[in-house]
Amino acid sequence: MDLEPTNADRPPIVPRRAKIGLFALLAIMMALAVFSRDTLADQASVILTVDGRIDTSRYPNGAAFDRDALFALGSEKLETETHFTKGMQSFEGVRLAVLLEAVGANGTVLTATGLDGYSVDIPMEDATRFSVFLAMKWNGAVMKVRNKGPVWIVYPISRFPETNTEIHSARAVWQLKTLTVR
Amino acid sequence: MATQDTDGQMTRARPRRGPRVAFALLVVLFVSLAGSIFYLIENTKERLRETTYDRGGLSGVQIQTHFERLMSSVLRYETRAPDASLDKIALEFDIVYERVHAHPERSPNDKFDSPGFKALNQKLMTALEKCVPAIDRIAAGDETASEGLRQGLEPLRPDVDRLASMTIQLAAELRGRIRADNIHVAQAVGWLIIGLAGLSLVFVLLVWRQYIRAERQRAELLDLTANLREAHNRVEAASRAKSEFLAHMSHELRTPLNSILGFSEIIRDGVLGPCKPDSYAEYAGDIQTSSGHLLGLIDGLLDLSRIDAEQLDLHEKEVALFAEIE
Repeated sequence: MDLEPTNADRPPIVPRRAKIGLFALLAIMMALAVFSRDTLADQASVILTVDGRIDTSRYPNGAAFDRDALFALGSEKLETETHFTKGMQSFEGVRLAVLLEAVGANGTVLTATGLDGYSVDIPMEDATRFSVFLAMKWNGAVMKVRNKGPVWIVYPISRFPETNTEIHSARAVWQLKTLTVR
Repeated sequence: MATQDTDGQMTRARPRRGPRVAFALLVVLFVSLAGSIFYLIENTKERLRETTYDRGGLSGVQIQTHFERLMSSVLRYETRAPDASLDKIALEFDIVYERVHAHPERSPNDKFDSPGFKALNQKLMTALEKCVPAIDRIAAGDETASEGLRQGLEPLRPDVDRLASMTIQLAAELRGRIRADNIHVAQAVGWLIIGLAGLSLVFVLLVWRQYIRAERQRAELLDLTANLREAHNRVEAASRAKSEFLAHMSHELRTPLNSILGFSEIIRDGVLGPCKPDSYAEYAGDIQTSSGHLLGLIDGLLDLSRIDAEQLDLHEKEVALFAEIE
């Protein structure tokens, strides 16, 4: 087999430098995966993802939350009427402003998308101005998709009657899946 | 306005009772009209603010859409489409479930006065409830639960379509009723404003009439004042003429009287020779005395006219004191 060149003579199919690069990339990705496990919730139980203009050093791939992680941000109660129901309702959840603060949101508009594909732009200032609420428990029960869950953007229209309008009702997305900061 | 009563005294005339009552009624009418307009506008604002978020019956169409999505997800799973999954079926079902469940309570659906709508909604809800155990199994990953699901859901399609149509129709009817109400209110407000404008016109006419009357009275008053001033001037002129006449007359009277005085004195004193019989001298003395008296009276008149003309100056003259005393 003289005619065949030896391995040493043949140039490698993948250049050595690229090999090192690939290894490094793999290592970084693995490290990120390990690192992210603390901040990113288990995929199956994620109920809400926040992406867009947020603190990318902490959430390079967007911040994903399961129900417990959302409650851990600062569970609050809210008694209010809503655009879509009759009478006072009691909710548990977190304030949108708290969530935005936690993910380091830095934008002017939030695009809220529901599981049913409905999406709407919400001015970021609504979060602080009207204490917009992310409801996850309704009258004591965890909200499922069959009951506007897992997350419902609720405007406290009893406290801010000026939000009892069509404009704000369109922003009150139920079955919320994603918030994109723009 | 002033009138002369029977005593000839000037008294203020009392306004008559009738016009006052009429005016008060007008004011009351005006205020109540303005009040009704205000109330109606406030009320309408309140009614318009009472939002019905879905006047187009959109919620029915959304159910229809999501039902089709559910059916499509089941079909795609059955045909092994690459992006199909059991989770998707469960999610689409839950979305339909939520929408049908919340449908009767959504504004304005809660205002639909239709037993058929509620019954149909309830019928769909019952049918969906029956699917819940299978869906829960699908969500848990039980592939066998998806078998027969499409056949189970398919019969719901006519009801879903009917519900969507019904919602659109009922929403349209409600919208029509609300619009008709609003038009009625707008018409009422329009008529009230016309009434208010009419009343305002009446007020303006009243004020105008008062103004015209006042102008006329002012003109009359000016006339009266002018007449009065003229009359006053005439009276003054007459008085002055009288005084002047008296002054002239007195002056003219004095001239003949001086003759009488002088000559009667000459006769009495017998300057040109004794007067026979003696009684003539005595008569002449009487004439002289009477003339002197008359002169005094004329002088008095003259002084009076001078006083009238404010021209009385004291003029010195020699007086035969003893004769005066005598």
